[in-house]
This record gives sequence, C-alpha cells and structure tokens, in this order.
Amino acid sequence: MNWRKWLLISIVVGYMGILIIAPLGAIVFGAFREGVPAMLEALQHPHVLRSFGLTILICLVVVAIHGIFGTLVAWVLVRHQFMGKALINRLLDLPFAMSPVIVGFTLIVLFGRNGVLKPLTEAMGWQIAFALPGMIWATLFVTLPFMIRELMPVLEAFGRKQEEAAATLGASGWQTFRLVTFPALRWAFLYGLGLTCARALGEFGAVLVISGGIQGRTETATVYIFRALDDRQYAGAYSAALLLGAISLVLVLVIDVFHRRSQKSIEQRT
Amino acid sequence: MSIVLDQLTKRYEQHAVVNKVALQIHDAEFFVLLGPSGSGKSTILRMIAGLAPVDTGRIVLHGRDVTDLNPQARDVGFVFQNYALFEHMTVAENVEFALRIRKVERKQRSERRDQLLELVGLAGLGKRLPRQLSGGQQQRVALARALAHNPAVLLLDEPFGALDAKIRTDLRRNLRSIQRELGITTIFVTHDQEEAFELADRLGVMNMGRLLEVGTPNELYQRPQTEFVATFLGSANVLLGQCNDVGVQVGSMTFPLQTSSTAEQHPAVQVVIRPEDVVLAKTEAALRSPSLGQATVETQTFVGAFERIRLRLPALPDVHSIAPVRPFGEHAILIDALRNPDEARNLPIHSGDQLWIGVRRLHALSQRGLNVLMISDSQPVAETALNIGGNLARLAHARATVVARDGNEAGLRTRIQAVREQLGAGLPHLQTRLSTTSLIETVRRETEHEPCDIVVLGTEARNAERDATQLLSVAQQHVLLVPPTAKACSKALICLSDGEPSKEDVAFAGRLLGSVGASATLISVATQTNDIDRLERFLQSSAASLRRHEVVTDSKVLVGNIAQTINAEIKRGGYDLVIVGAPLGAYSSNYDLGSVVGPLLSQLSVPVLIIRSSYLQPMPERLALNVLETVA
Repeated sequence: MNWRKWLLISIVVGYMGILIIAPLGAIVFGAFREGVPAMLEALQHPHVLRSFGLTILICLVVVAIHGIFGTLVAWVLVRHQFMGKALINRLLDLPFAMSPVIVGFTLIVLFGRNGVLKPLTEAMGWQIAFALPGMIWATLFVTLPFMIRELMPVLEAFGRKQEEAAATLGASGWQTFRLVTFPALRWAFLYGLGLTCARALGEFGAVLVISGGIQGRTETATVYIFRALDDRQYAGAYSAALLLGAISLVLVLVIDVFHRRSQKSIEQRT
Repeated sequence: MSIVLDQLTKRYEQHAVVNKVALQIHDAEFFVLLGPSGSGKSTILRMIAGLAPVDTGRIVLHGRDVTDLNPQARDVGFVFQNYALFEHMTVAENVEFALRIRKVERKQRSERRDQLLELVGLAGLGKRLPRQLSGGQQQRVALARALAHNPAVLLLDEPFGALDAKIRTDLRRNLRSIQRELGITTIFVTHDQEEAFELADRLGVMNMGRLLEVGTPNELYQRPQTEFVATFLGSANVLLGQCNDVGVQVGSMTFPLQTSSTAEQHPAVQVVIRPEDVVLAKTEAALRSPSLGQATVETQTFVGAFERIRLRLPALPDVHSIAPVRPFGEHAILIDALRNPDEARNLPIHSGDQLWIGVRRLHALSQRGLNVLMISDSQPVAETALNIGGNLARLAHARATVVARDGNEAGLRTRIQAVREQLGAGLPHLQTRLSTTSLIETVRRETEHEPCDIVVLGTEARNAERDATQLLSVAQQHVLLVPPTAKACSKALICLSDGEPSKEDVAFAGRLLGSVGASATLISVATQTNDIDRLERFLQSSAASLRRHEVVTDSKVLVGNIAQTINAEIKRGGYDLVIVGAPLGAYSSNYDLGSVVGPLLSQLSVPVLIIRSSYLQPMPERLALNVLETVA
C-alpha cells in the first residue's frame, strides 16, 4: 500500500514543480544570464519605471475602491433580503469565468473611438479608453469577486448576536460596524485586499485591450514585459518579469498570514 | 408599572408566534416567562428590546411608549443565551462598551467597570479576553456589560441554557441577589420550571404564542386554571369528574368547590391531583383522607429525595383519566404518587402490592381543556381536515386524537406515521390510533375511552348531510365538517336563532374562536319583520359574551328564508367558517338535520361547525346499541 501513497505524492509534487517551480526558475535563470549590471540598467529605463509606477497606481486605486465597495456589497448580500439578490450573487463570479480580453473589448465598444458612450464622455471631457480610467475600470472588473467572496462567509459566521448586543447597549449602526463588526472581519478584509492586489498586479489581457499599450504612456508592467519580449529586449523583459514575480511572491507570503488568522477567527466562532 | 405589554402580536407568514399578549410588570419585580421552546417567549423579549419589530400592540417602558423606537433609544439591558460578548475586546472593554458609546470619561468608566466586575464576582479578570473564560464567567461578564449603563429594564433570554447544572444554580442565586440589590425590573425567559420557580416573584406560562396564566409560583402550581399549566408545572394526575351542587365528584369522593375555581356551569370538570397529594395505605381507614379506591402498584422509581410510584386503579363510574396517558382500550386509571423517605420507611411497598389511594387535596380547573377528535379516512379531503383540525387544536391548546380508518392495516400505519410528522410539532398531547370499523363505531369507541368536544371530519358537499347525520346521531360532541376547499379559520359566521345554539354554546364558540384569533359575525334570520327587535336584543347579549373571549364581533339581523339567506351571506361576506346550532332532537338513527342545517351542508364550501347544545342529555345505553345495529 505504501508505494501507492508515495507514487501519488510524487505525482503531485512533480505536477506542482512543472507548473510553478519551473517557470520561476526559468525567469531567475534568464534574468541572471543577461548579467546583473545589464539587469539593473534595464530596470532604470524610463518605460520600465513608468510601467511599474502605473501598475502600482492601478493596484492602489483598485484596492481602495474594492476595500470600500466590496465590504459594502458583502454586507448587503449577507444581511439583507431583496429582489434579485440571488442573481447578483451568481453574477459576482462572472469575472472568474470570463476572459479579460472580452472585458477589455466591451470597454472599447462602450468608450472606444465609435463607442456607445463616447459622445457622453467626450462632452464631459473624460478620456476613458486608451487612458488610466479605462485601465482601472478593466482591473476593477477582473478583481471584483475576491474581496466579496472572502468577506461573505466570515460575516455569515460572525452572525448578528454581537451586533444586536451592541445595539441594546446604545451603539448606532456605524458605531457597531466600526467597533464590533469590522474588528471581527479585519483579517479576512486584509486577505481580500491582498488577493485583489495580487490579481491586479498580474492583469494583462483586459488592460492591454483597453489601454492600447502605448509605449511609455499606458503600459503596465505586464504589458511592458509582453512588448519587450516581442521586441527581443531580453534584458528588460527578464528583469521586469523577475521584479514583478518577486513582488507577487512576497505578497502571497504576506497574505497567507492574513488568511491563516482569518480562518482561525472563523473556527473560534463555530 | 415598569413594563406594560398591550395586545402584543407578532406573525411569521400568517402564523402568530406571539398572540395578543397583555402583561403588566411592577417596578423592581423579577418576572419569569416560562414555556416550551417555540412558545414565543424569546420573541416577546426581543420585541421589548427592539430587536424584532412589533406587528400590532404596544410596549410601554416606565410610562414611555417605545413600540416604534429603535433598540438604542429604549434603555434596556439584554443578556443573550450564547453570551454575545465582543470577542476581540477584553472583559474590561466589554463591560465599558455602553459607557464608551455614551462618551463617559475614562476615569468614571474604569470606576464603574471595577464596581460591576466586583458585583458579578470577576474582580481582577478585566484584562482577559472572553475566550479565556469559562462559560459561566462569560455570562457574568455579559450581565455586567448589560448593567453598565444603568438600564431601566433588564432582559435575560435563557441566559443559563448552555451551562451545566451546578454552575446554573450558583449563577441563579448570584443573579437574584444582584437584582434585589439594584432593584431593577427584570424579565427572565426560560423553559426550565425549576429555574422559574426559584427566581420568580411572578411568572407567566406561555404556549403557542399565548400567555396562558400569570401568577406567583405558588398560585400557579397550587391553583392552575388550564390543563396546560397544570401539566407543564410539575407532574399532575388529571381526571375528568362531575360537577354537582355540593362540589366536585370523582368516583365516591366529593370535594367542596372553592370559590376561586368555580368551573363553568358544565357537568364535566377536570381535576388536578398532584402526586404529593396522593396518600397510600394498607387499609382504607388508615388513609385519613377521602378514598379513591384500591389500586395495584405498577412501578416504583427512586428519584433522589423522593420515591415515585405509579398505580393502576380499576375504572370508576363517570371518571375519565386524562393524564398520565393510558393505553387505548385500557379502562383502568393510572395514578402517580410521590412519597418522601419518611413515608417510604413507614410503608415499604413492592410492585404488585394492593394499596388504598387517598387524596389530600384536589383542584378543579376553571377551563376544561378541549379535546379534538380527528378522523382520517382514505378520502383526499382528510388531509385538509387534518390541517384545519390540527391547527385548531394547536391554537386552542387542545388534546388531539387522530384515528386513521378505512384501509388495510399497513396503509393505516403509514398514514398515521404521516400524521405524526405533519402534526407532531406543537401538539403536546397528540394521540394516534388505527380503526378498522365503521365511522360511527370508531367515534363511539373513542368517546367512550375519553370524552371529546369536537369531531373533525373531511367531507365532500354531496356526503356532508349523511356524515353529519351519522356523527350527530351517535354522541354528544360538536361536529366540524371540512370540505376540500377549506383554507383556514379566521373569519367566522355564527348563525343563531333564539333557541339554538344557546348562549352557553355561543360561549363555547367564543372560546374556540378566541384561541384561534378569528373574528366573528353573528347573524340571525327573521322570517317575520316583527321578530327583528327581539332577535337584535338576543344577538347583542350573545355578542357581549363573545367579546369576553376577545373575539372581534359584529352582529346583524337579516330577513328572509333562513337557509337561502344564510347561504347568500356566506358568499357575500367571504367567511371561512360557519357555526350553526344542531337542531334539537332526540338521539336516533334517523336524526333530522332540519330545514336549515341540511340545505346548508348540501352546499358545503367552507368548514361548518355544528354546535351541539349542552342541555341535550347523553344518549341512553340502549339507544346507542340500537343506532349501531341500524347504521353500521
């Protein structure tokens, strides 16, 4: 029986190794083959700096918006009953299934050169497509479920008893949320933020389509790597990929801590 | 008055979980709401705290109507069953929470906190987190937290439910002394009778959303008014005896009636004999109390300080046993007795011993509990009848018996199983039986075993007359016929003529409608216009008797052909229950439904309750046999 167990384990390890370790190793190997000085120099290129700056900016905006609205949506979906709740709940998972390219494409249809809403945005003087707002919009869509799906089960496990207790003790709705409910959600909240951030860092398809990938202007880190490879600028591509990969890895390690704390707080409640 | 509840009602999907509860609680009183789970007691508490909205009725706290205020503005302290402590805050932060919300200064806050932790016996544990405390300690913190802002009213929702027996006892004493010390008006909800008795100044017993009785523990235990309270508070032997001019007669014993428990003018009366009031002796002379008869010892159990004995007493004339429940067909009466160690030492007994049973004290219930008999045959309409009858029995706290008949034994058993699943919840006294005999024979045997008040039968309009004739010819109970189209009973039409049903029977209908929460319209049909005045006076007095049962009532006199007018009124008014009097007449196989009830039943579209006038005498034995021979 024992050899079967070990066979199973080695299959799993091999599978994970091919899927995760190999690409990571390839990036590290590729980057260092170009030589450290070349790498550092490549990273200082204005296009690279600009693309990373843009990626981080988009990340921060998206995390801030989902931090507020994701919490709100999760709260309403768990605590209130209304018509269409089940539908909204189902539609929430759409970003998991739908290709980001389609999302980018729909935004072009809406705000592109001959877009449906183009006259409106033009009149208001807003530039959505091929600009930062469109890129944020696309990233918001693809990162929508993470925060909400993380908070909902925690809110449900938390229940209403402590909130009711706070109400009988005189706390207003906002005081109850701030002092009682939110502290109980905090680890799940941080984990949700982390996941949203990680997903936003890696977004490529939707952003490429809506931004048009204009060099040095609407290029995010992922779009830059794609173009650098295309242009055979291997030093730039490898070093940017290595940096982005490292950021993601650190993020995953940090949010894992949040995840464990969040799980623990659910267990304590049930 | 600290707390006044006025006709408080709460419905979930048409089902009243709290039904017209009226209650007044004095300043500094410790009031306990006691009832089985699902009786609505927690919902009342949540409504007082503002955690559940009120459908109808008012809540007044210290003279201030708070019905529409949010919880924050009500000034109550609430203790939850599962503590509901803020888990990420320390004990100290939990206790200080209400003060922090009220922006009390830090120094005053910590003084008050220390004082409260001292009060609940947790001084020095302020820095701990709730999960570092035991269940009992957590509930003490919850109590301290609920008292921090000096609330006007303290509400506790089964606070000790999750704790073990020893800790409960300690906490109870602790709570009682804190409540006395602070003089805070308190409502405590529990399903534990011992807890209720130990804590309460007064207590209220609830069942199925209704507050049945309110009184001191002693009053309710010694002099309950209803069968439910008598059997819910401690154990009780409940017998059906006869009421006469001298008092209550049970077998050969006659007890004078105390004024506090005058039974309604009805010959049958329920009497309660507490097990500790049962005396046992070797000879009748040694009893030194009125004797019930000689019985056989069935079982004997030792329960700590006491000894519980069950005895079997041969059947007594005109006495029916209601509790403890005996097997069907068993004519003997089961009696429970409780003896203290002294008594046990003086008279050692063993199962099989023959002993005399005496009764030190008995109590007659002022409201005889209703008994509903439902017949489930193979017709599809039987299902509807079970729903209507079951709901009626549930709301009226009636005992219910369902007899499945008309089918092979295996089929009947499955049907009974389904009935149990359908009606089991909320019917504390549900009995089920199989019968393979005719409808009449079934009803006769059942009523012989235990008299019932209403027989419920599902029937189609074309069979209604036949079924009514059969049921009315066999015994003396009221009959409820349920057609397949029946939905619920919430709007009743009571058809009176000045002979039948009599006012006493209107009172019965009133009691039934009152417990169901139905409204009623009284009508009387005059065939001649000069009868109108007389009928109107008659209706007025009947309506008054209905209002005593809290039934919303109006009344009118109509003129025309009686049967046609009533039928037209049923269609016009959208009634879902019609109550008519059974025509007077001798019991016989060809019982005549008369010119009113007959035509009414032939157009049966809503349930019809046929009220049997109580002054009809029970059918003589000879006649009963005669009926069986001709009909069965």
